Amino acid sequence: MFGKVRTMWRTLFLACAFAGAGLEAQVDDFEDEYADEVEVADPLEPMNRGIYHFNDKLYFWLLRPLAKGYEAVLPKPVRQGVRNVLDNVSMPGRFVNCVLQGRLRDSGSELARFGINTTVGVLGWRDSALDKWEIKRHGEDTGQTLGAWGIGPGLSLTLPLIGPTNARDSVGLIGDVLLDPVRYIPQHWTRLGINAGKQVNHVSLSLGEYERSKAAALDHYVSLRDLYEQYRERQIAE
Amino acid sequence: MSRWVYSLRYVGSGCPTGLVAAYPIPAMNKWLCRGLHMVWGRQMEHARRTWRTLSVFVFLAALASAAPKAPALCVSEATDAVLKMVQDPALQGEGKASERRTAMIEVVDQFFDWELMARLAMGKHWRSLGDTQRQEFVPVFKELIVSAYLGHVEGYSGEKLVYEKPSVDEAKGRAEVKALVTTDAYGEVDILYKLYRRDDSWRVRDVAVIGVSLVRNYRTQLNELMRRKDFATVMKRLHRKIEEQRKAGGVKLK
Repeated sequence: MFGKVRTMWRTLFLACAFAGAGLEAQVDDFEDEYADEVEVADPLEPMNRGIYHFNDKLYFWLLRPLAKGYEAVLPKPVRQGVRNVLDNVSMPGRFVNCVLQGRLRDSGSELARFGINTTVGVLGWRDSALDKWEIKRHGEDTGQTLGAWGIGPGLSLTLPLIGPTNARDSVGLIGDVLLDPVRYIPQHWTRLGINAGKQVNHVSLSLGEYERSKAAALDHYVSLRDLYEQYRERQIAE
Repeated sequence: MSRWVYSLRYVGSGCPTGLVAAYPIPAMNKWLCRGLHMVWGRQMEHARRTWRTLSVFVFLAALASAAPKAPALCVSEATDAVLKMVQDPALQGEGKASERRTAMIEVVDQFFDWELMARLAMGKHWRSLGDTQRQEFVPVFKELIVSAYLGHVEGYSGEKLVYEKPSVDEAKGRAEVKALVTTDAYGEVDILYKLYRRDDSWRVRDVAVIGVSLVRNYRTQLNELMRRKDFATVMKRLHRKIEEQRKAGGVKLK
Protein backbone atom coordinates (compact mmCIF):
# COMPACT_ATOMS: atom_id res chain seq x y z
CA MET A 1 0.00 0.00 0.00
CA PHE A 2 2.75 2.41 0.83
CA GLY A 3 4.43 1.73 -2.51
CA LYS A 4 1.34 2.78 -4.41
CA VAL A 5 0.85 5.91 -2.34
CA ARG A 6 4.48 6.84 -2.91
CA THR A 7 4.06 6.42 -6.65
CA MET A 8 1.07 8.69 -6.60
CA TRP A 9 2.86 11.40 -4.67
CA ARG A 10 5.89 11.08 -6.91
CA THR A 11 3.75 11.59 -9.99
CA LEU A 12 2.10 14.62 -8.49
CA PHE A 13 5.43 16.05 -7.41
CA LEU A 14 6.91 15.64 -10.89
CA ALA A 15 3.86 17.28 -12.42
CA CYS A 16 4.26 20.25 -10.10
CA ALA A 17 7.97 20.41 -10.77
CA PHE A 18 7.30 20.64 -14.49
CA ALA A 19 4.73 23.34 -13.94
CA GLY A 20 7.22 25.24 -11.79
CA ALA A 21 9.95 24.82 -14.38
CA GLY A 22 7.57 26.33 -16.89
CA LEU A 23 7.28 29.47 -14.78
CA GLU A 24 11.04 29.81 -14.38
CA ALA A 25 11.50 29.57 -18.13
CA GLN A 26 8.94 32.33 -18.60
CA VAL A 27 10.67 34.56 -16.07
CA ASP A 28 13.95 34.07 -17.92
CA ASP A 29 12.21 35.06 -21.15
CA PHE A 30 10.96 38.26 -19.58
CA GLU A 31 14.39 39.00 -18.13
CA ASP A 32 15.89 38.67 -21.60
CA GLU A 33 13.29 41.00 -22.99
CA TYR A 34 14.32 43.75 -20.61
CA ALA A 35 18.02 42.96 -20.70
CA ASP A 36 17.95 43.48 -24.45
CA GLU A 37 17.08 47.15 -23.99
CA VAL A 38 20.11 49.38 -24.39
CA GLU A 39 20.62 52.02 -21.74
CA VAL A 40 21.88 55.40 -22.89
CA ALA A 41 25.33 56.47 -21.67
CA ASP A 42 25.47 59.27 -19.13
CA PRO A 43 29.10 60.36 -18.72
CA LEU A 44 28.08 63.90 -17.75
CA GLU A 45 25.84 62.70 -14.96
CA PRO A 46 27.03 65.07 -12.21
CA MET A 47 26.37 68.07 -14.42
CA ASN A 48 23.08 66.65 -15.59
CA ARG A 49 21.96 66.02 -12.04
CA GLY A 50 22.82 69.58 -11.15
CA ILE A 51 20.68 70.91 -13.97
CA TYR A 52 17.93 68.51 -12.99
CA HIS A 53 17.87 70.06 -9.51
CA PHE A 54 17.80 73.51 -11.03
CA ASN A 55 14.84 72.56 -13.23
CA ASP A 56 13.11 70.96 -10.28
CA LYS A 57 13.35 74.13 -8.22
CA LEU A 58 12.30 76.20 -11.21
CA TYR A 59 9.19 74.08 -11.57
CA PHE A 60 8.11 74.36 -7.96
CA TRP A 61 9.09 77.98 -7.44
CA LEU A 62 8.14 79.53 -10.77
CA LEU A 63 6.46 77.35 -13.36
CA ARG A 64 3.91 75.65 -11.14
CA PRO A 65 2.65 78.78 -9.35
CA LEU A 66 2.37 80.52 -12.70
CA ALA A 67 0.50 77.60 -14.20
CA LYS A 68 -1.85 77.40 -11.24
CA GLY A 69 -2.67 81.07 -11.48
CA TYR A 70 -3.13 80.74 -15.21
CA GLU A 71 -5.39 77.72 -14.69
CA ALA A 72 -7.53 79.66 -12.25
CA VAL A 73 -8.03 82.48 -14.72
CA LEU A 74 -8.58 80.62 -17.97
CA PRO A 75 -11.06 77.75 -18.30
CA LYS A 76 -9.86 74.49 -19.79
CA PRO A 77 -11.46 74.83 -23.26
CA VAL A 78 -9.69 78.17 -23.67
CA ARG A 79 -6.35 76.69 -22.70
CA GLN A 80 -6.90 73.78 -25.05
CA GLY A 81 -7.74 76.26 -27.77
CA VAL A 82 -4.53 78.17 -27.14
CA ARG A 83 -2.58 74.93 -27.29
CA ASN A 84 -4.24 74.02 -30.59
CA VAL A 85 -3.53 77.42 -32.16
CA LEU A 86 0.15 77.29 -31.24
CA ASP A 87 0.35 73.70 -32.40
CA ASN A 88 -1.23 74.56 -35.72
CA VAL A 89 1.28 77.34 -36.30
CA SER A 90 4.20 74.97 -35.82
CA MET A 91 3.10 72.82 -38.76
CA PRO A 92 6.12 73.57 -41.00
CA GLY A 93 8.46 71.73 -38.66
CA ARG A 94 6.30 68.63 -38.72
CA PHE A 95 5.78 68.85 -42.46
CA VAL A 96 9.49 69.12 -43.29
CA ASN A 97 10.43 66.28 -40.95
CA CYS A 98 7.79 63.98 -42.39
CA VAL A 99 9.20 64.65 -45.85
CA LEU A 100 12.77 64.10 -44.66
CA GLN A 101 11.73 60.75 -43.24
CA GLY A 102 10.12 59.79 -46.49
CA ARG A 103 6.66 59.82 -44.98
CA LEU A 104 4.99 61.68 -47.79
CA ARG A 105 1.46 60.66 -46.90
CA ASP A 106 1.91 61.95 -43.38
CA SER A 107 3.34 65.22 -44.68
CA GLY A 108 0.25 65.53 -46.84
CA SER A 109 -1.88 64.94 -43.76
CA GLU A 110 -0.09 67.73 -41.94
CA LEU A 111 -0.76 70.15 -44.78
CA ALA A 112 -4.38 69.08 -44.87
CA ARG A 113 -4.68 69.51 -41.12
CA PHE A 114 -3.25 72.98 -41.35
CA GLY A 115 -5.66 73.95 -44.07
CA ILE A 116 -8.71 72.49 -42.36
CA ASN A 117 -7.92 73.70 -38.86
CA THR A 118 -7.08 77.22 -39.97
CA THR A 119 -10.37 77.58 -41.84
CA VAL A 120 -12.97 75.30 -40.30
CA GLY A 121 -11.16 75.16 -36.99
CA VAL A 122 -10.99 78.97 -36.78
CA LEU A 123 -7.26 79.74 -36.95
CA GLY A 124 -6.45 76.41 -35.37
CA TRP A 125 -8.59 76.84 -32.25
CA ARG A 126 -10.41 73.59 -32.83
CA ASP A 127 -8.79 70.43 -34.14
CA SER A 128 -11.54 69.91 -36.72
CA ALA A 129 -9.32 67.76 -38.91
CA LEU A 130 -9.20 65.12 -36.18
CA ASP A 131 -12.77 65.54 -34.92
CA LYS A 132 -14.54 65.51 -38.25
CA TRP A 133 -12.23 63.80 -40.71
CA GLU A 134 -10.04 61.74 -38.34
CA ILE A 135 -6.82 63.00 -39.84
CA LYS A 136 -4.29 62.24 -37.15
CA ARG A 137 -1.48 64.47 -36.05
CA HIS A 138 2.04 63.33 -36.81
CA GLY A 139 4.30 64.88 -34.24
CA GLU A 140 7.58 64.50 -36.06
CA ASP A 141 10.53 66.65 -35.12
CA THR A 142 14.15 66.94 -36.22
CA GLY A 143 15.45 64.71 -33.44
CA GLN A 144 13.13 61.94 -34.59
CA THR A 145 14.28 62.45 -38.17
CA LEU A 146 17.88 62.00 -37.11
CA GLY A 147 16.86 58.92 -35.18
CA ALA A 148 15.01 57.55 -38.17
CA TRP A 149 18.19 58.02 -40.18
CA GLY A 150 19.88 55.66 -37.77
CA ILE A 151 21.64 58.12 -35.49
CA GLY A 152 21.73 56.85 -31.92
CA PRO A 153 20.95 58.99 -28.87
CA GLY A 154 24.62 59.57 -28.09
CA LEU A 155 24.88 60.62 -24.50
CA SER A 156 22.29 61.86 -22.07
CA LEU A 157 21.98 65.59 -21.48
CA THR A 158 19.76 67.57 -19.18
CA LEU A 159 19.14 71.10 -20.37
CA PRO A 160 17.85 74.01 -18.31
CA LEU A 161 14.14 74.58 -18.74
CA ILE A 162 13.89 71.84 -21.32
CA GLY A 163 14.69 68.89 -19.10
CA PRO A 164 16.14 65.54 -20.11
CA THR A 165 17.29 65.10 -23.66
CA ASN A 166 20.24 63.55 -25.46
CA ALA A 167 23.01 64.57 -27.85
CA ARG A 168 21.07 63.77 -31.00
CA ASP A 169 17.87 65.45 -29.84
CA SER A 170 19.75 68.57 -28.75
CA VAL A 171 21.02 68.96 -32.28
CA GLY A 172 17.49 68.23 -33.42
CA LEU A 173 16.26 71.01 -31.20
CA ILE A 174 18.32 73.50 -33.15
CA GLY A 175 16.64 72.27 -36.29
CA ASP A 176 13.23 72.62 -34.65
CA VAL A 177 13.91 76.21 -33.66
CA LEU A 178 14.93 77.03 -37.22
CA LEU A 179 11.72 75.51 -38.56
CA ASP A 180 9.48 77.22 -36.04
CA PRO A 181 7.58 80.16 -37.62
CA VAL A 182 7.45 81.93 -34.25
CA ARG A 183 11.21 82.37 -34.44
CA TYR A 184 10.80 84.66 -37.39
CA ILE A 185 8.67 87.21 -35.57
CA PRO A 186 10.94 90.29 -35.41
CA GLN A 187 9.93 91.53 -31.97
CA HIS A 188 12.07 89.80 -29.38
CA TRP A 189 9.64 90.19 -26.48
CA THR A 190 6.70 88.89 -28.49
CA ARG A 191 8.69 85.79 -29.32
CA LEU A 192 9.63 85.28 -25.70
CA GLY A 193 6.08 85.86 -24.57
CA ILE A 194 4.70 83.29 -26.96
CA ASN A 195 7.25 80.65 -26.03
CA ALA A 196 6.82 81.24 -22.33
CA GLY A 197 3.07 81.23 -22.66
CA LYS A 198 3.24 77.97 -24.55
CA GLN A 199 5.17 76.37 -21.69
CA VAL A 200 2.86 77.69 -18.99
CA ASN A 201 -0.18 76.64 -20.97
CA HIS A 202 1.17 73.14 -21.39
CA VAL A 203 2.01 72.79 -17.72
CA SER A 204 -1.43 74.06 -16.73
CA LEU A 205 -2.99 71.27 -18.76
CA SER A 206 -0.83 68.58 -17.16
CA LEU A 207 -0.65 69.81 -13.59
CA GLY A 208 0.14 67.13 -11.08
CA GLU A 209 2.02 64.86 -13.44
CA TYR A 210 5.47 66.02 -12.45
CA GLU A 211 4.58 65.71 -8.77
CA ARG A 212 3.17 62.22 -9.28
CA SER A 213 6.23 61.14 -11.21
CA LYS A 214 8.44 62.46 -8.41
CA ALA A 215 6.43 60.73 -5.69
CA ALA A 216 6.67 57.38 -7.43
CA ALA A 217 10.38 57.49 -8.21
CA LEU A 218 13.24 56.11 -6.16
CA ASP A 219 15.72 58.21 -8.07
CA HIS A 220 13.78 60.85 -9.93
CA TYR A 221 16.63 62.01 -12.12
CA VAL A 222 17.18 58.46 -13.45
CA SER A 223 13.46 57.91 -13.76
CA LEU A 224 13.01 61.00 -15.94
CA ARG A 225 16.03 60.15 -18.03
CA ASP A 226 14.73 56.65 -18.65
CA LEU A 227 11.20 57.91 -19.27
CA TYR A 228 12.51 60.31 -21.89
CA GLU A 229 14.55 57.66 -23.68
CA GLN A 230 11.70 55.16 -23.76
CA TYR A 231 9.31 57.81 -25.04
CA ARG A 232 11.71 58.90 -27.78
CA GLU A 233 12.33 55.31 -28.84
CA ARG A 234 8.62 54.90 -29.31
CA GLN A 235 8.23 58.18 -31.14
CA ILE A 236 11.03 57.35 -33.57
CA ALA A 237 9.65 53.87 -34.21
CA GLU A 238 6.16 55.14 -35.00
CA MET B 1 -15.62 -6.89 15.32
CA SER B 2 -18.70 -4.79 15.45
CA ARG B 3 -20.85 -4.35 12.42
CA TRP B 4 -19.97 -0.68 12.06
CA VAL B 5 -16.23 -1.17 12.14
CA TYR B 6 -16.45 -3.77 9.41
CA SER B 7 -18.44 -1.44 7.24
CA LEU B 8 -16.10 1.47 7.72
CA ARG B 9 -13.10 -0.60 6.80
CA TYR B 10 -14.59 -1.43 3.45
CA VAL B 11 -16.09 1.96 2.76
CA GLY B 12 -12.67 3.54 2.85
CA SER B 13 -11.22 1.01 0.46
CA GLY B 14 -13.61 1.91 -2.32
CA CYS B 15 -15.02 -1.56 -2.35
CA PRO B 16 -18.74 -1.66 -3.17
CA THR B 17 -19.33 -3.81 -0.15
CA GLY B 18 -18.95 -0.67 1.85
CA LEU B 19 -22.40 0.16 0.67
CA VAL B 20 -23.86 -2.78 2.42
CA ALA B 21 -22.82 -1.31 5.75
CA ALA B 22 -26.36 -1.10 7.00
CA TYR B 23 -27.08 -4.79 6.52
CA PRO B 24 -29.05 -5.74 9.60
CA ILE B 25 -27.48 -9.10 10.42
CA PRO B 26 -23.87 -8.52 11.44
CA ALA B 27 -22.69 -12.05 10.79
CA MET B 28 -24.11 -12.04 7.26
CA ASN B 29 -22.54 -8.67 6.64
CA LYS B 30 -19.16 -10.00 7.61
CA TRP B 31 -19.41 -13.04 5.40
CA LEU B 32 -20.80 -11.05 2.52
CA CYS B 33 -17.89 -8.68 2.68
CA ARG B 34 -15.39 -11.47 2.85
CA GLY B 35 -17.07 -13.32 0.02
CA LEU B 36 -17.20 -10.33 -2.24
CA HIS B 37 -13.64 -9.58 -1.45
CA MET B 38 -12.55 -13.09 -2.35
CA VAL B 39 -14.37 -13.03 -5.65
CA TRP B 40 -13.72 -9.48 -6.74
CA GLY B 41 -10.78 -8.76 -4.53
CA ARG B 42 -8.13 -8.80 -7.23
CA GLN B 43 -10.17 -6.75 -9.70
CA MET B 44 -10.99 -4.27 -6.97
CA GLU B 45 -7.32 -3.89 -6.18
CA HIS B 46 -6.47 -3.35 -9.82
CA ALA B 47 -9.33 -0.92 -10.33
CA ARG B 48 -8.25 1.03 -7.31
CA ARG B 49 -4.68 1.33 -8.53
CA THR B 50 -5.80 2.39 -11.99
CA TRP B 51 -8.12 4.96 -10.52
CA ARG B 52 -5.34 6.45 -8.43
CA THR B 53 -3.05 6.93 -11.39
CA LEU B 54 -5.89 8.12 -13.59
CA SER B 55 -7.07 10.59 -11.02
CA VAL B 56 -3.71 12.36 -11.12
CA PHE B 57 -3.96 12.76 -14.87
CA VAL B 58 -7.58 13.81 -14.69
CA PHE B 59 -6.56 16.45 -12.18
CA LEU B 60 -3.73 17.73 -14.37
CA ALA B 61 -5.90 17.70 -17.47
CA ALA B 62 -8.52 19.68 -15.62
CA LEU B 63 -5.87 22.22 -14.69
CA ALA B 64 -4.56 22.53 -18.20
CA SER B 65 -7.87 22.70 -19.94
CA ALA B 66 -9.52 24.99 -17.40
CA ALA B 67 -10.35 27.84 -19.71
CA PRO B 68 -8.58 30.93 -18.35
CA LYS B 69 -10.54 34.15 -18.39
CA ALA B 70 -9.71 36.09 -21.54
CA PRO B 71 -6.92 38.63 -20.93
CA ALA B 72 -8.91 41.62 -22.16
CA LEU B 73 -11.69 40.80 -19.76
CA CYS B 74 -9.31 40.66 -16.82
CA VAL B 75 -7.78 44.03 -17.55
CA SER B 76 -10.94 45.88 -18.49
CA GLU B 77 -12.74 44.51 -15.45
CA ALA B 78 -9.95 45.61 -13.19
CA THR B 79 -9.51 49.09 -14.61
CA ASP B 80 -13.22 49.74 -14.87
CA ALA B 81 -13.68 48.69 -11.29
CA VAL B 82 -10.85 50.99 -10.28
CA LEU B 83 -12.26 53.91 -12.25
CA LYS B 84 -15.71 53.34 -10.80
CA MET B 85 -14.20 53.51 -7.37
CA VAL B 86 -12.34 56.70 -8.21
CA GLN B 87 -15.63 58.27 -9.22
CA ASP B 88 -17.67 56.77 -6.39
CA PRO B 89 -19.22 59.70 -4.49
CA ALA B 90 -18.94 57.86 -1.19
CA LEU B 91 -15.18 57.71 -1.61
CA GLN B 92 -14.65 61.28 -2.78
CA GLY B 93 -12.72 63.95 -1.00
CA GLU B 94 -9.28 64.41 0.51
CA GLY B 95 -10.15 62.64 3.74
CA LYS B 96 -11.18 59.44 2.08
CA ALA B 97 -7.93 58.95 0.19
CA SER B 98 -6.81 55.92 2.20
CA GLU B 99 -10.20 54.20 1.87
CA ARG B 100 -10.05 54.84 -1.87
CA ARG B 101 -6.61 53.42 -2.04
CA THR B 102 -7.52 50.28 -0.06
CA ALA B 103 -10.53 49.68 -2.26
CA MET B 104 -8.49 50.09 -5.41
CA ILE B 105 -5.70 47.83 -4.22
CA GLU B 106 -8.19 45.08 -3.47
CA VAL B 107 -9.39 45.13 -7.04
CA VAL B 108 -6.02 45.48 -8.68
CA ASP B 109 -4.33 42.87 -6.47
CA GLN B 110 -5.80 39.85 -8.14
CA PHE B 111 -4.89 40.91 -11.66
CA PHE B 112 -1.31 42.09 -11.21
CA ASP B 113 1.59 39.75 -10.56
CA TRP B 114 3.43 42.08 -8.19
CA GLU B 115 6.00 39.48 -7.24
CA LEU B 116 7.07 38.96 -10.80
CA MET B 117 7.22 42.71 -11.40
CA ALA B 118 9.37 43.20 -8.31
CA ARG B 119 11.67 40.44 -9.41
CA LEU B 120 12.02 41.79 -12.95
CA ALA B 121 12.60 45.28 -11.60
CA MET B 122 15.55 44.00 -9.57
CA GLY B 123 16.89 42.40 -12.73
CA LYS B 124 20.28 40.80 -12.48
CA HIS B 125 20.64 41.89 -8.85
CA TRP B 126 17.85 39.53 -7.81
CA ARG B 127 20.29 36.66 -7.81
CA SER B 128 22.56 38.43 -5.36
CA LEU B 129 19.75 38.84 -2.84
CA GLY B 130 19.21 36.36 -0.07
CA ASP B 131 15.79 34.91 0.74
CA THR B 132 15.12 37.29 3.65
CA GLN B 133 16.11 40.25 1.52
CA ARG B 134 13.81 39.13 -1.27
CA GLN B 135 10.93 38.66 1.13
CA GLU B 136 11.64 42.09 2.54
CA PHE B 137 11.80 43.73 -0.86
CA VAL B 138 8.73 42.37 -2.64
CA PRO B 139 5.89 43.67 -0.44
CA VAL B 140 7.48 47.08 0.01
CA PHE B 141 8.17 47.46 -3.69
CA LYS B 142 4.65 46.32 -4.44
CA GLU B 143 3.28 49.21 -2.43
CA LEU B 144 5.34 51.66 -4.44
CA ILE B 145 4.30 50.25 -7.80
CA VAL B 146 0.68 50.20 -6.73
CA SER B 147 0.94 53.89 -5.90
CA ALA B 148 2.62 54.62 -9.20
CA TYR B 149 0.01 52.75 -11.19
CA LEU B 150 -2.94 54.10 -9.24
CA GLY B 151 -1.46 57.56 -9.54
CA HIS B 152 -1.71 57.23 -13.29
CA VAL B 153 -5.24 55.91 -13.12
CA GLU B 154 -6.40 58.69 -10.83
CA GLY B 155 -4.84 61.20 -13.20
CA TYR B 156 -7.07 59.87 -15.93
CA SER B 157 -10.22 59.70 -13.89
CA GLY B 158 -13.27 60.93 -15.72
CA GLU B 159 -11.78 60.23 -19.11
CA LYS B 160 -13.22 57.59 -21.33
CA LEU B 161 -11.33 54.33 -21.61
CA VAL B 162 -11.54 52.40 -24.86
CA TYR B 163 -10.14 48.90 -25.07
CA GLU B 164 -8.64 47.58 -28.27
CA LYS B 165 -8.85 43.96 -29.29
CA PRO B 166 -6.18 42.04 -27.37
CA SER B 167 -3.38 40.17 -29.11
CA VAL B 168 -3.10 36.72 -27.57
CA ASP B 169 -0.51 34.02 -28.11
CA GLU B 170 -2.12 30.99 -26.53
CA ALA B 171 0.80 28.65 -27.13
CA LYS B 172 3.34 30.83 -25.37
CA GLY B 173 0.85 32.14 -22.85
CA ARG B 174 1.40 35.81 -23.68
CA ALA B 175 -1.10 38.56 -24.29
CA GLU B 176 -1.25 42.31 -24.70
CA VAL B 177 -4.23 44.55 -24.16
CA LYS B 178 -4.26 48.21 -25.10
CA ALA B 179 -6.49 50.84 -23.53
CA LEU B 180 -6.87 54.29 -25.10
CA VAL B 181 -7.59 57.37 -23.02
CA THR B 182 -8.06 60.91 -24.25
CA THR B 183 -6.22 63.40 -22.07
CA ASP B 184 -5.85 67.17 -22.08
CA ALA B 185 -2.13 67.50 -22.32
CA TYR B 186 -1.11 64.65 -24.58
CA GLY B 187 -4.20 63.93 -26.63
CA GLU B 188 -4.79 60.24 -27.02
CA VAL B 189 -2.72 58.21 -24.58
CA ASP B 190 -2.34 54.46 -24.82
CA ILE B 191 -1.91 52.19 -21.82
CA LEU B 192 -0.56 48.80 -22.74
CA TYR B 193 -1.00 45.88 -20.37
CA LYS B 194 1.35 42.97 -20.89
CA LEU B 195 -0.05 39.73 -19.52
CA TYR B 196 1.12 36.20 -19.19
CA ARG B 197 -0.69 33.03 -18.26
CA ARG B 198 0.12 31.65 -14.87
CA ASP B 199 -1.60 28.44 -13.78
CA ASP B 200 -5.09 29.03 -15.09
CA SER B 201 -5.40 32.77 -15.06
CA TRP B 202 -3.92 35.73 -16.84
CA ARG B 203 -1.85 38.11 -14.72
CA VAL B 204 -0.43 41.47 -15.64
CA ARG B 205 3.36 41.57 -15.70
CA ASP B 206 3.94 45.12 -16.96
CA VAL B 207 2.11 48.33 -17.83
CA ALA B 208 3.41 50.72 -20.49
CA VAL B 209 1.96 54.23 -20.65
CA ILE B 210 2.75 56.03 -23.95
CA GLY B 211 5.33 53.36 -24.58
CA VAL B 212 7.05 53.86 -21.23
CA SER B 213 7.22 50.57 -19.38
CA LEU B 214 6.74 50.76 -15.63
CA VAL B 215 8.92 47.75 -14.91
CA ARG B 216 11.70 48.97 -17.17
CA ASN B 217 11.66 52.39 -15.57
CA TYR B 218 12.10 50.91 -12.11
CA ARG B 219 14.65 48.49 -13.43
CA THR B 220 16.86 51.37 -14.51
CA GLN B 221 16.49 53.16 -11.20
CA LEU B 222 17.15 50.04 -9.14
CA ASN B 223 20.13 49.11 -11.28
CA GLU B 224 21.72 52.49 -10.57
CA LEU B 225 21.00 52.27 -6.85
CA MET B 226 22.21 48.70 -6.48
CA ARG B 227 25.32 49.42 -8.52
CA ARG B 228 26.32 52.63 -6.75
CA LYS B 229 25.02 51.99 -3.30
CA ASP B 230 23.57 48.81 -1.77
CA PHE B 231 20.41 46.97 -0.89
CA ALA B 232 20.07 48.72 2.45
CA THR B 233 19.92 52.08 0.69
CA VAL B 234 17.27 50.78 -1.65
CA MET B 235 15.10 49.63 1.24
CA LYS B 236 15.63 52.91 3.06
CA ARG B 237 14.51 54.88 0.02
CA LEU B 238 11.52 52.63 -0.51
CA HIS B 239 10.39 53.09 3.07
CA ARG B 240 10.89 56.83 2.85
CA LYS B 241 8.87 57.10 -0.35
CA ILE B 242 6.05 55.07 1.11
CA GLU B 243 6.08 57.19 4.26
CA GLU B 244 5.85 60.32 2.16
CA GLN B 245 2.93 58.87 0.24
CA ARG B 246 1.12 57.87 3.39
CA LYS B 247 1.63 61.31 4.87
CA ALA B 248 0.29 62.91 1.75
CA GLY B 249 -2.83 60.83 2.27
CA GLY B 250 -2.28 58.08 -0.22
CA VAL B 251 -2.43 58.80 -3.91
CA LYS B 252 -2.13 62.48 -4.76
CA LEU B 253 -4.82 64.16 -6.77
CA LYS B 254 -4.24 67.10 -9.08
